[in-house]
Amino acid sequence: MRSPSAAWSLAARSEPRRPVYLVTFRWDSAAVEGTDQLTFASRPGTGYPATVTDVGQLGGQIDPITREMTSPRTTIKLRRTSAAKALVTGRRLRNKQVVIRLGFVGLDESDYLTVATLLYQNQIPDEHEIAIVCTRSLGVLFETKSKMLFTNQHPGPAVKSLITALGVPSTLYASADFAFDADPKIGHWNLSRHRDPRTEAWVPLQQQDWEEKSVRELISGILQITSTTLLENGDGVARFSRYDRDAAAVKHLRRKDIVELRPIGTVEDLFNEFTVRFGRSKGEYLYKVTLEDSAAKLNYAYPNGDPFKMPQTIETDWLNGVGSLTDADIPPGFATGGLYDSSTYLVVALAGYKGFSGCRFDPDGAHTIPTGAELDADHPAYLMLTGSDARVESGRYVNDKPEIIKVIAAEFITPTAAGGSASTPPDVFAPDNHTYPRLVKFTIDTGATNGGRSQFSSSPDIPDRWRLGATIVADVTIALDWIQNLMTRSTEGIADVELRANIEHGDIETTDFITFDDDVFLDFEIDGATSAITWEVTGDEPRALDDSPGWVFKLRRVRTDIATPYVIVGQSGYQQPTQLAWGDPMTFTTGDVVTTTTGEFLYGGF
Amino acid sequence: MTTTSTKSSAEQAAIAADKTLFVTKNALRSLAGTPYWVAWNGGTSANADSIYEAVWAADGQADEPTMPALQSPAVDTYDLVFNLDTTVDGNYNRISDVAIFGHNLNTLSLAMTKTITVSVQIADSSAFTTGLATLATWTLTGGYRDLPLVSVDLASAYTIYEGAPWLRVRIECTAAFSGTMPQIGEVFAGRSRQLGRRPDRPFDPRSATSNITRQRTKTGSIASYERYTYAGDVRLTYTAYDGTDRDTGLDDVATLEAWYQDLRGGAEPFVFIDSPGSAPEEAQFVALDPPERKINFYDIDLGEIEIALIEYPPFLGPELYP
Repeated sequence: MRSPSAAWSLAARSEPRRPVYLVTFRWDSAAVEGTDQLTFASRPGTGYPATVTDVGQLGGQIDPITREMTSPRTTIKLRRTSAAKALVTGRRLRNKQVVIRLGFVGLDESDYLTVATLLYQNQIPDEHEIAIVCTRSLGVLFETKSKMLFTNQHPGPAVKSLITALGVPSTLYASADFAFDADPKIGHWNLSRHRDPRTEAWVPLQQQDWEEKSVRELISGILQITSTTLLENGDGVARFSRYDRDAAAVKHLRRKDIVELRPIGTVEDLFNEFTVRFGRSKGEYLYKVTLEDSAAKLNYAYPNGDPFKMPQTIETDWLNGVGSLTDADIPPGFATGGLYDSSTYLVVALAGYKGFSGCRFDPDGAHTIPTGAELDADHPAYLMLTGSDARVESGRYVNDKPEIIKVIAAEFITPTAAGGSASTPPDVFAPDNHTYPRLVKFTIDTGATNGGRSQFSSSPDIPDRWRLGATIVADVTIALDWIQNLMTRSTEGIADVELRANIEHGDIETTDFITFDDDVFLDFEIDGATSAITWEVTGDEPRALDDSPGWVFKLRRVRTDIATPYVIVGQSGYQQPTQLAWGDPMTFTTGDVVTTTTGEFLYGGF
Repeated sequence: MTTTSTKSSAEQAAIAADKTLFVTKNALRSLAGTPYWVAWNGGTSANADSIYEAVWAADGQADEPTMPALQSPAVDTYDLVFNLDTTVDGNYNRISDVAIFGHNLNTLSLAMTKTITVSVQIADSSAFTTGLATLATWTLTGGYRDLPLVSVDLASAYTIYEGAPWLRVRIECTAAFSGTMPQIGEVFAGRSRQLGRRPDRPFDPRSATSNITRQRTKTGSIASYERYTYAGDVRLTYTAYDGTDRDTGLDDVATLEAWYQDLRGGAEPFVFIDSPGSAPEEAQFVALDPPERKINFYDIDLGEIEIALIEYPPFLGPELYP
């Protein structure tokens, strides 16, 4: 939420409201009026030239599926007066700061609310006005290309690294927001996007390298998979805001607060199957995890009864936590190793540096995990086991049936002679020559549903064994969080409304959760909106000078109830395209080939 | 060299009787140099930086004030100085009335609990020594209203000045200015176009309009958004006598002809004073809209004209009724 002063809030709700915009064009940080900046007002009586006639769209909008924030170009119009002309003719203003503040007649200037800090881009004069075109501060910088690589990095510091690499001043981002422990719920998350030229046969992901991309694409990739948005507040300072479906509403709007409610649609963005493709190897995304809501597919079935399948798939460069099952628990009486139905832990090779959650070991030393980055019962990781001829049930291999296991602890272990392998020093990770743990032991959450095994399945099925040497282990913690966020939200559609409230509600800002009372809203089993329905503010816009004034909020519905268990669908891992086998030419019993009258061979069925 | 004359006795009588007065052709819109602020520290003056350019006090906009920058050490006297073009359109500039709009001097005087004296002076040079004449003086002791500072009786003798090369607005306070600085929106030093009669009745000199949006919320509560109030939109219907009126001694048709020419066909703003004798401070900075002059003669020497005015901000109304 924004935090306007008590004086601002009082002025904003007092009859009549007399809003005033102050637009400051600042070319020097010393900010002395007349020397380093010039301020213009939207009405007289402020001590500043009353030259502002219009302030265009300020607010952007978040896409609830991609979490991408689209920000408009803002146009500020000034009357073509001596004051406005002096601003433009007196200096070069491109890339200089434009600060927009909103207050009211009689309000002390120190109480004005800063609603946007932009960058001056262009001016378009005509005979009556000068239109000043501005953009968001950070957006201008993000088209620069980069090939930055990350090993075992939390998404927050990764985004910050990308921002700071551009030379963005520290005053333009809230550094604390990007710390790995800023959001305690996800301190254990880990990403990797690093060069790994390995080609050994046992390594799941081979010849990993990454092309140059714009910083915008790199940051967007992190934001999407982590359900995070990069926002600028009114002061132009970027903050890192994660969508948390369980967050509490910050404000409830009553009917008397609402001037207009305009539903856009209630069954928008309906998806019931989500897939994350990840793990690049030789340019291909080798692995995927898919969950579906089968009940939702039937709820929206076609008239002929066919389920309504609406998938959403993303591919991400940032999830490369793929290792191999190794040296696992060997129960008494079994000669071969593997993960058994009675196992309480599993050991994964390569987990120490491939971006497995809970495995952000410090390199080159004691390999400790920072406090707040560990796994525990409240911060679990989810590992997906898969692989060809890896799953054993009743003495036979069962393919196309991955299993997701919930783990609540991770520790690095030194390889032992267990399983017959000799003691091996930690791997050296090229090209930086840092050392990371080779093996990580994950403890299964045996107290969880189904003993921590076969998670996200409507009919849990624990195999007898996962085989060593064939089983691939992939960290799908972040992927599942993304899927769950969207699955809970979109299997019934994400209702979309636009609400205009009085201007005193400008303390609500984008990414806040709110509730409101209204009789107009309708949805399945809902007649009227109440405090029981939570909405995410995906965009907010002050309309102080409009014919329809107030503060406009774009809202998308938030859901927290997980109605049905999600089912992991299909296989993961690379599949060769299905090959159609041509039949052999037909032959007579003598072995001669049967031909047509024109001499062409006749073939058997496929 | 500045020459002087005086308003005719007919004009003086009309003023005293509160007949309609227009002030046109602001001499400060024709300048021979860039205006500037001067700060006085004791007997020593120096050009002062301005937060907003001094020329904004003569740009036809009263809601974009100029103000000097705070001096170090702080001073108690500022001059806003104009170098006038003495031959405007082949004629000497002619100043018979002055008005200052968009200032904060009375409320500033209240805030400082000090007296502020404002003077308009002309001289032959920028030194303001030779040919120095004080056109008008106002002594402000503080109040909640910043009505325009207007004088239609220059030098207290209805003096008319022609060809004045230098003009300044002197702002003197009994203490140094610090914090809030004196502001001036527009200085208007022009010529008088005095009509011999008041507008025909019915006539409302305080006719105004406001821009307020009111909307109801879902429960019927009303939220009002005000953009401006009391924007003057006076409409005068005037019966003009063609020729020297025996009663008033003034030729209104000729006055209106000259007034319209002064406005360049209605393009230029001017000053409208409804009661120049009893309430000159209730002057309004206006424009003719629609910009037309049509006298409908219905008798051999009588014609009727409709004059519609729109007011420039800052509006008079909020100052009259704070």
